[in-house]
Amino acid sequence: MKKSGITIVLITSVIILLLIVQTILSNRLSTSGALVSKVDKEIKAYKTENAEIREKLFLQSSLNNIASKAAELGFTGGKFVALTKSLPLAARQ
Amino acid sequence: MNWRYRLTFLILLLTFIAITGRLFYWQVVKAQELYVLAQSQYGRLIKVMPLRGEIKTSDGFPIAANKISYLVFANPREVKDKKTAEKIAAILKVDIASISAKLALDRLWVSLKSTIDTQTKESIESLNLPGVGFEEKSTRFYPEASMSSQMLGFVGKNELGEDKGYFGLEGYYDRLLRGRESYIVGVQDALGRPILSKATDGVRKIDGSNLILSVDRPIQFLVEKKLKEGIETYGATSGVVGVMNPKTGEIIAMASFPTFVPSEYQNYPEDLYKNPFVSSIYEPGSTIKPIVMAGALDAHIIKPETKCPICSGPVVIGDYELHTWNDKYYKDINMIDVIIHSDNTGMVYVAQKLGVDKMISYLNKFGIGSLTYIDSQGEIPASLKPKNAWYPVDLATTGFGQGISVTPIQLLTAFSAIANNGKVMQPHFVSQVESLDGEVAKIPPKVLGTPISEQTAKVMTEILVSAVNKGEAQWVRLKGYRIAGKTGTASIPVKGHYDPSKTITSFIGFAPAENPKFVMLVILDKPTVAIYGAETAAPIFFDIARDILSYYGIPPSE
Repeated sequence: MKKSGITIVLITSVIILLLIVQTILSNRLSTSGALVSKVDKEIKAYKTENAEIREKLFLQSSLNNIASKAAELGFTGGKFVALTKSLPLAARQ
Repeated sequence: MNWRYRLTFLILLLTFIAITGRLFYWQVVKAQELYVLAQSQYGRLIKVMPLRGEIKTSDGFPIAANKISYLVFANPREVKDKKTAEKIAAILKVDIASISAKLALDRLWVSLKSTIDTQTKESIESLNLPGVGFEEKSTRFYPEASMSSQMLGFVGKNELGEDKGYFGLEGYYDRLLRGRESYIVGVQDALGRPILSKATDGVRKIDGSNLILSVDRPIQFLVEKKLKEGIETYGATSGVVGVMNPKTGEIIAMASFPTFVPSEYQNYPEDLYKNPFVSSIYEPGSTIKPIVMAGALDAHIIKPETKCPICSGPVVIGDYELHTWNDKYYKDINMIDVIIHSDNTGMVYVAQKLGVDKMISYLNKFGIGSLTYIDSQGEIPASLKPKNAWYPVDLATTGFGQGISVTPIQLLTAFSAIANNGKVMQPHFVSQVESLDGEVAKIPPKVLGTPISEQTAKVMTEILVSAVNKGEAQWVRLKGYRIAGKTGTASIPVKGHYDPSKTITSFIGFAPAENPKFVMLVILDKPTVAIYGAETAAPIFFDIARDILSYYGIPPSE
């Protein structure tokens, strides 16, 4: 009877220990899920932000935008200058 | 007792076999069928659309990209505030009645407006309206607005409401740009409410590939600007310009006007969607003369110094009298001067010497009458007449570009052979295809044929340089540069005769003549300020050519 009593106590202790371990692990898992969700949200927010910045960048660097900004600032088309095969006066002397 | 025991055992065994057999039938034989049936009861198939590939110019700048937009939706059962419709309508700038009508529906989900931008979304979000939500989407975005729109085409919706490319590159490369969609089974409970679980069928979503064009963005911008200015200056109804690398067939720029804004394609007439450079036909007029002359030179039927014995006056063929464009005639004119003066009677002589068989043969070899197979949706072939339908007058007028129809891309491709030692290259916009993992597949140049010899091409080039330096367009030529080119003025056929007051003017040429970097065709439709190519299309050609030569850093050679 003494031996069986020890066995019962041992088994009960193991069960209780395992329940505690399971509770701790479940607790950890439940909070990490929330963390994963938070990280997911952050990744999505960064992706959206990147896409929006990319859109702004393309709009700003488009030739249409640059041309209109240049016109606003008073830039005009440059005169076409091409050196012919005959050397300039300075180079000939 | 023994037989009773055996009977009981037999009954139990048979029952066990029957149950096992039935289970085998449901779980193995009918498994797939039941799986599909069950899925339809507890799940909903959701299609996950891939991200559409971008279209980039040669400098890597996306002229067709993707941007984030939002679909604003509502659950009418959760919307209690009666002012919700008013508030949303004010921000979305739509009729209050349309929003109110949607919110009055007895549904769990209604779409209020699609493709709203981030700012609008944030404005609605700040109101904290219960029952109103947003769904993130990806929509086409054109950083250069209407630039290259007829070359690009647009992205619309198919009959299932999915994105689909139409016209131009979007239409031609739709499958490549679209990628592959995947499916997710959204699991729902017995009442049809979604539950937080999902089962995928294992088909992975593949985003679309990017297209890298040979189109040079600064040149494209320049060409569009100059074309628009030219159309306004010469009072034309429309115009097109195409610039190509004759050695590879790569399109450097292609512009047409009037055009449309791809993101607002619904607001424009449908006839503007097609790229007229590949989808319209016209009579080329004198710009066809170098093709016919090159054929005759290559066939050794004539030489540059051959004198025209029929050029002292109008040529009579049957009931028709064929004149030169200015009614000036040069007796015994040689073939170089025939091109310089754009002499129609000289070209009648060349066409007659060539004959119908060789004329058709050379035109076919140059690609006139067949598709160029350019990578753009909507190319039409502009076929030649069958041989038995050619009358003597048809042969004569084809020599100077009347009674024959071409597409601008056909003519540009054919003319490029003169600039490329006699080889016709297949024109194409896309030079590389970039997959999602960064792998780049280059598209190699393709030779479509060699209609004339290298020697003939060189002789024809020299004749065309003389045409620029001494012809009608010499007043606008770029001094110091050797440019080969030809003017064109084609009357417009109306109800069986040619309208003398309305013309299609053009100029085709390449530069520098000794080592061509580009070949360009400029066409103006019905200019009103002047009706000749030398006075309208030629100035635009040389204006653009000057800037391209400067951009490429090519110095004058003379």
